[in-house]
Amino acid sequence: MMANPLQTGLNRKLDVSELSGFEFDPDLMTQAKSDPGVFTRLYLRHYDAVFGYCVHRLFDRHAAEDVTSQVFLSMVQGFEKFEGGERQFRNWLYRIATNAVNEHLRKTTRRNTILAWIRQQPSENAGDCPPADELQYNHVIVKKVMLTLKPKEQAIVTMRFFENLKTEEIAEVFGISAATARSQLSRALAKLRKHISSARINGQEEKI
Amino acid sequence: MNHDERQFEELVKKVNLDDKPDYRHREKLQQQLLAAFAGHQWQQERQSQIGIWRTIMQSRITKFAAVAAVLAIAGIVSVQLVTGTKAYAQVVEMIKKARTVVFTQVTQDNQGNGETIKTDFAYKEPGYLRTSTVDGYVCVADFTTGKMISIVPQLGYTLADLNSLQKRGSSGPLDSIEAMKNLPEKADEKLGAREIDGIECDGYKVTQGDLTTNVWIDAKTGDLVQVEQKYASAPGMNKIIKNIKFDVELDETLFSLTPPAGLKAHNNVELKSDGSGETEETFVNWLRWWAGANVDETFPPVVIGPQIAKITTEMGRQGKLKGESWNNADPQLMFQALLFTSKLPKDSNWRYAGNGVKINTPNTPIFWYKPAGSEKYRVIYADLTVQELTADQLPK
Repeated sequence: MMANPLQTGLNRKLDVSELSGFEFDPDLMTQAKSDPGVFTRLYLRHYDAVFGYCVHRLFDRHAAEDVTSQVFLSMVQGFEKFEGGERQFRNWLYRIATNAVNEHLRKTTRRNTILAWIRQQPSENAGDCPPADELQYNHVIVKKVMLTLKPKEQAIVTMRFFENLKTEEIAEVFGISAATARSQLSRALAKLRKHISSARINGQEEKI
Repeated sequence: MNHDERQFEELVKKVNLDDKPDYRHREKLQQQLLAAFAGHQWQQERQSQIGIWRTIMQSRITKFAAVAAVLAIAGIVSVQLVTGTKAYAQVVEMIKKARTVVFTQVTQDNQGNGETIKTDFAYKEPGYLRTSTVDGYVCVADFTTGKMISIVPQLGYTLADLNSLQKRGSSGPLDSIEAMKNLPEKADEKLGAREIDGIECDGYKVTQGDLTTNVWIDAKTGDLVQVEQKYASAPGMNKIIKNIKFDVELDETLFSLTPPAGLKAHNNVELKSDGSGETEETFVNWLRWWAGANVDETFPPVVIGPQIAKITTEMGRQGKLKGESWNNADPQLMFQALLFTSKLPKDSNWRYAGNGVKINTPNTPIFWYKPAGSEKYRVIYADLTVQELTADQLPK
């Protein structure tokens, strides 16, 4: 397949095969520090993962794009001093992204706004059916229950279930042991189970 | 996986969330990152060359960037793209019908040092053109309105009004696209088979005056793979056009003249040309000015193409440009001087050999060309005198 020539400034579409079965490139990091072309390649290899993580934390693609931009611009600032391979680079990006998402939620009070909105949903919908589209309905539930978790728990659950990272990988990102990661995940899931049940009961009540 | 995990996983699978990445954001961010990356590298370089750097103030670099942006504008206007059996005829037909075209152009400077510059092009009917380099230099021209923006990474952008050029229908990238569309329907000869980037290709050769064009077509699919241009009288002045695609979807935002957020505006420049200023005299005056405006007193490395903007910025960063001269640089003079070379007809066989040559070096030709209708060549020497010579008297 011919490469898209528009590597700079144009709509270069990432080859999906480049990401599926992701393999870390051992030579990429050194070259990327001095070669803009390699740097671009590194960016393109990780853009989707960072954006995915942000959008799954924020449930808002526009906010996710803003935060993704912050993440990569922050990365450039510290890139020269960064030491490690591409795997460590990905972990580093996740840490930056986690901080940026948390900061975004805190600063913009978006979380509170969303929670307030979600809290209003049952009363607003009183007498109506819940969303006819089951997918949309599940979206609302997941968003609702996720935002009840602490930021760190949100991050762990998002990485595990949306980004499909193993608990060992999550542990690497946050510099904790795998056992701690598993323990925190279990606690978060227990909370989620409780909140999901509650949300569904409310949903059923609304149906009735 | 325990029950809680399975339950949540099932729920996540059923979530309808708009989480597909948008290539436009990815692209926009890529531009910002490259600009930031270039700036960061620049800072590193500056720290290591602090001794040199002390002679140049930050404000002066900004001035160089503004000048570089003007040069890039002249460069984009000066882009020459002339390309030129059954598969060949089909490719020509495709070019003629194309509403958009994208390609990468690898240019070898006509100074014989083998250096190449890679630039990506995107063209969209009726008259939108974008060029970009991997390190973030971007020019966008809207020839329907005569407006243009030139972006120098990290340093800023310049807006330009090209209306005066548009009104008189000057040559430039649009003519170049037209020239591509006017390729002859039949090639002069077949070149046989060759593998390019892993693709088995059939080659066709077209000769138009001094220019020889080799067209390479995918033997299996009939797609155009590569176009090579060689000038008989200028062996080093070669171009390779590759990654060519026709009728790809090009988002309008790619041709947006809105400056990127966070970049500073340089002086807005209204570049005008009624044709009268694009003369040999203007070109000579510009060469004189350039030689006087750099510490080595040498002529510019190149006299055409977007690469001159990049080179100028780099020279500024390296402290090779005299700040005072550049603060008083005349964008119009540069613009017209570069238009002079870019608008020389293809059979003028022009050649530049001034890179690294110091002004007033005796008996050293730095530029020559054959004016339209003339049998002799005009040769400009390093002392900026001009002589007329026959072809066999030209430097080899």
